[in-house]
Amino acid sequence: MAPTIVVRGLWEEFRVLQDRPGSVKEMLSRLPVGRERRSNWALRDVSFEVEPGETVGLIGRNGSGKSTLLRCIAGILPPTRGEVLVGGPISSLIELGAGFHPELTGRENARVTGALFGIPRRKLEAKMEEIVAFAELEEVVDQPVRSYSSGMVVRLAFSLAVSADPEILLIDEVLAVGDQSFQRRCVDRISGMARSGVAVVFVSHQLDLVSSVCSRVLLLDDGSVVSDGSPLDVIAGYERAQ
Amino acid sequence: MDNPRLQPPTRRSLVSSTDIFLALVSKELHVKYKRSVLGFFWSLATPLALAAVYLFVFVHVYRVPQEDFALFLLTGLLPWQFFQMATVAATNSLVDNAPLIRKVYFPRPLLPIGAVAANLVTFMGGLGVLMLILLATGRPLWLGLHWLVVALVLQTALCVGISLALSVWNVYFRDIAQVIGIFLLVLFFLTPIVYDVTMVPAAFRALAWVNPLAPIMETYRAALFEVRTPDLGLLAAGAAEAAGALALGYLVFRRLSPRIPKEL
Repeated sequence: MAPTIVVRGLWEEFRVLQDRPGSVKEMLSRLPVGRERRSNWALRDVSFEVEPGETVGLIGRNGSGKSTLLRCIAGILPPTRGEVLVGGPISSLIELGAGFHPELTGRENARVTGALFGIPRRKLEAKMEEIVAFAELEEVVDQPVRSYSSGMVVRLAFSLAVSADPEILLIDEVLAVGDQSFQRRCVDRISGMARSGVAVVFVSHQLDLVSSVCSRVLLLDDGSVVSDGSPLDVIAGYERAQ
Repeated sequence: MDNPRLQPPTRRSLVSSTDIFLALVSKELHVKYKRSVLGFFWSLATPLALAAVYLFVFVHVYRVPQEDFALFLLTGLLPWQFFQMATVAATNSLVDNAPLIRKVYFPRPLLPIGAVAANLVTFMGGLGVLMLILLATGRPLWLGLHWLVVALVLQTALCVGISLALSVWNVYFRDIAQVIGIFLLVLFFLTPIVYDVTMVPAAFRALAWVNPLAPIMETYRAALFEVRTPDLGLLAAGAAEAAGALALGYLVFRRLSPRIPKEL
């Protein structure tokens, strides 16, 4: 089968933010020594492919490049070298909150974020009740998001992301916040989407969750893929190395 | 051979940019008037207050003879208000929406352009009110309607061009947001808003030719207040400048925007 995500020779430069002057004053005060541009690589020559229906877990220590890789696949970060190609629409759930506006209600936020997640306007209105129901927010959907708990925010964001009918679903460490029952339903939903041919890439530090959800796991270390295989093998190798 | 369906992720979206654009504009407008009783009418408050103050200073203190001075001022102040609000909002649009930019890919120019569009919607409302008043004074506004459209199009193009460049520069240098206040203050007095372009002494006439906002203001005033044909030479210069600003803004944005998520 044709792959739906192709990552080929991907290098991603990461610039340390503190080295960049934040204002003209700061820039002028540094002029004599010149701008120190310490650059290093967040990703070094990463290549892999994901088939439709695969659920790939990305594991590795903090700073190993998992989130950067996910952002590159999502198109948020352009590759410094190499290329990322995808075979269908993407839904990405990266960090908490999905950029909700605190003063707007859950429903108003859902309209904006839904559009950004790729749900056409008509379809969003038709699916709104379903989205709210999956997030279990029927009672509070017309209240400002600033009154929501972090779990409620994640539930709404996840519910929107999976309602977009993507062919690729990218999830970064967001399930850790929800309670057990919601996490269970998320895992069921992800598995269901994978069965219907969606390619899922899943970043998590919860290794038990990774092994129960994923069909394949990539281990990243210092920006490189050091291991690629079945969840059992890769996770065992990772735990041995720690 | 590669699957022809494979494309860079930035080419892949389920929704049209139009839907995202509309969602962003409606969000801007919602946020702006959230928890405000008078809502839209606040957008009329600043130009009205300014008009009252200038009326007092020029007519009652300096005793400048000018017929219908209040309406003369409003035909300049209302479009100025649009320019000012839109530029400030658009300049901050990328920084303000940093969480969105870090999380989802969508065409980035939609943020500054959306900020301009949201302010354009508000401006159209105010313009409607102003036109009703001008009609009530017996001005045959329908005769100048096409010039009004020209002014609106040019002003929006100029605003979008400036906003594209300023918004992305502001990501790299937050000083831009500070500088813009001074820049707008100076521009306000160098633009024929509280005076007419014909009142400017010949020695300074060139200002109107280099200030891209001057021909636009002249055209608004010609279309709405005096209901005549605007200065076509000046208008041509203004059109060229607005097109130039749009092209420049586009180039700056295209060049600098890919790095935005790393800088925010």
